[in-house]
Amino acid sequence: MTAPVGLAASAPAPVAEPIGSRTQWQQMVRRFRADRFAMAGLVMVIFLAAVAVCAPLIAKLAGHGPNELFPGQLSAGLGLPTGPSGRFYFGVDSDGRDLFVRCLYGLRTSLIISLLAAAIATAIGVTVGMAAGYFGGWIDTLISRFADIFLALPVLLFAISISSVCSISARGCLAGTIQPGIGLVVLILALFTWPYIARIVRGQTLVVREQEFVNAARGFGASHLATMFIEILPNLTAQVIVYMTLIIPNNILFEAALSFLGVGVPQTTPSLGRMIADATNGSLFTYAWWMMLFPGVLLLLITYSFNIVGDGLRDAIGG
Amino acid sequence: MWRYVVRRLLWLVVTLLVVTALTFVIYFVLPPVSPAVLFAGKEATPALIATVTRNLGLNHPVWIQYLLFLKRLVLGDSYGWPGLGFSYVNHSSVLSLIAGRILITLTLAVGAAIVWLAIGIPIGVISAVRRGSIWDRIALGIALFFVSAPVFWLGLVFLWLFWYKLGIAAGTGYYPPGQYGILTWLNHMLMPWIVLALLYAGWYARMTRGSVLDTLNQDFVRTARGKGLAESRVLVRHVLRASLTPTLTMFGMDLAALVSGTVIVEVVFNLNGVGQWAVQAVLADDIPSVLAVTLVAALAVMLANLVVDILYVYVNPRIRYD
Repeated sequence: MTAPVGLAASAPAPVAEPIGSRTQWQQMVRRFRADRFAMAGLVMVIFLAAVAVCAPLIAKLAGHGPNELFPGQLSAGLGLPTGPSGRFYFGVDSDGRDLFVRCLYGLRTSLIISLLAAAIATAIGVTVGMAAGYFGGWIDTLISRFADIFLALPVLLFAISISSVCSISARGCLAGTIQPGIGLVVLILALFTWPYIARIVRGQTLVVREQEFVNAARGFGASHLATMFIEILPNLTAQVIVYMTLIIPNNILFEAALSFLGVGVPQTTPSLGRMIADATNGSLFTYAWWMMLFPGVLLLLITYSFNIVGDGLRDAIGG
Repeated sequence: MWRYVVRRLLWLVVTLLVVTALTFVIYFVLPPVSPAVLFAGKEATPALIATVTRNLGLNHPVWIQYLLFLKRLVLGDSYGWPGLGFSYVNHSSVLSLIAGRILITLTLAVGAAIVWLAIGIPIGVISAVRRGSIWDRIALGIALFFVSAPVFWLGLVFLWLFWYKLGIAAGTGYYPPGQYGILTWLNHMLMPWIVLALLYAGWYARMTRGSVLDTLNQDFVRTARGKGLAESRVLVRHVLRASLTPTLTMFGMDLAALVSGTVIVEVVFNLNGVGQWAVQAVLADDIPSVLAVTLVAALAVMLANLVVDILYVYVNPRIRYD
């Protein structure tokens, strides 16, 4: 997997003066709202998310299920799929399924996987990164070095490896705790993205740790855990949200790539990546361009919008 | 300097141990079935599974299995060095299978790297110098487009447009120059190079822009301008030299990412390199081959990072490692 956009430049952003995190938030929101480009991205993200959430409803309105077959839509002789029409907005695929409805469900899969994985990676990254920055010393060295190694791994191959050994039987991995399917893809994504968050959080914690209110909290007898999660964590939220936003499009692309290669989500789950792979079957895309175009454009739209929002947020916190 | 190199080499050993351990865990500890069943392929006879069990030393405790795994890798096995095992699906040693394909993969990666540096850096510099202009906005928008586009989809769109519709590009497949001539080979490599390069070109444009903008605000640039140097000279001799160093470290980090991109582009353009073969191996349950490619790629990236780190000290005298 490739580094989420701009994570390499991780200069610690200026932390708000001891006034507290709320003003920093307000400032961020104000700057973000002034950025028309970023706002357009946000509107697009919300629109696509709403469409994904409403996918079953829209499917019902269209009257076609995601896995429903419409053999009448395949040409009589060769059984080739037919293109966009008044009833099938995006045409049908080689099995005669409604591509429009499948795209919506694919978008749903993309969003569920990428958001879940980003949430898990953030939870791990924040905890581990904060521990590294707060305690310093050998804990920091150990965590940072481990994160460095993870960042240098050829992620796609490791993902393919895990996915292939864990999908070999329905029992999954580690005595059944890791099952093939969406959960496995989420786990793989989280496993390889937490170091990005951990790195940012560590750097930020190093700065915040030195501030007076942290000393004050310690002086009042707050435990290490309380100091970290009550005093320091609120000062990291803005940064964490920015980098979480940048990880999401990355996750979407990675899931799509895995499914395109045939090692992602299972056959029965609609996935934009797998739909594009279907279009390459026997170079079908040269004829049925719609099978390639619509899932791809949808992928591009969602990742582009997320990237714009992430960029805008990063500018807004002055990173 | 030498102390740094020695320390870096020691760190490399630790890294290699961690990477091999990680790979070992994935293939020998995670799977719900015995690795022997996994490695022997789909239609394995009990006799074959017994042989694999013996060859891999699977009747030993796990930590000895790991040491044996390391030993085969470092000292080689009966199929040569490094010991990468045997593909029971292909009835051939994994080493020979990789050796026959690695050149195609390297050709793809190196060619793409040249293309993305040639596109990304100039665009980033122009964007930074013309900051806020319409060109800057367009360049940034396009860069973000390529960063956001799925590589495999971009490849298919390019194929559809330039090969199928316009007929100005060659189709898929690898055509060895020795057999088909340089021109045919080049013709078929051009689109894979460009598609693979575009994603990274987008990043490099963004990175270079940021880096040049930072450098433009430095005191030494003001001094150079104050001396009355021509703007072009300030840009090339002062700004570029200082701002391209961070790009070098990025190059090391990107190698890991490049492996992913290469796998996908090989699949899309039907280039029979190591990446395409790894994907085919997964689908054919040829686990020893997948293991070998993963391991070789990970080790290669770690070694390349070492080279980049040491080069970095040479080109950036401001950094002192001791």
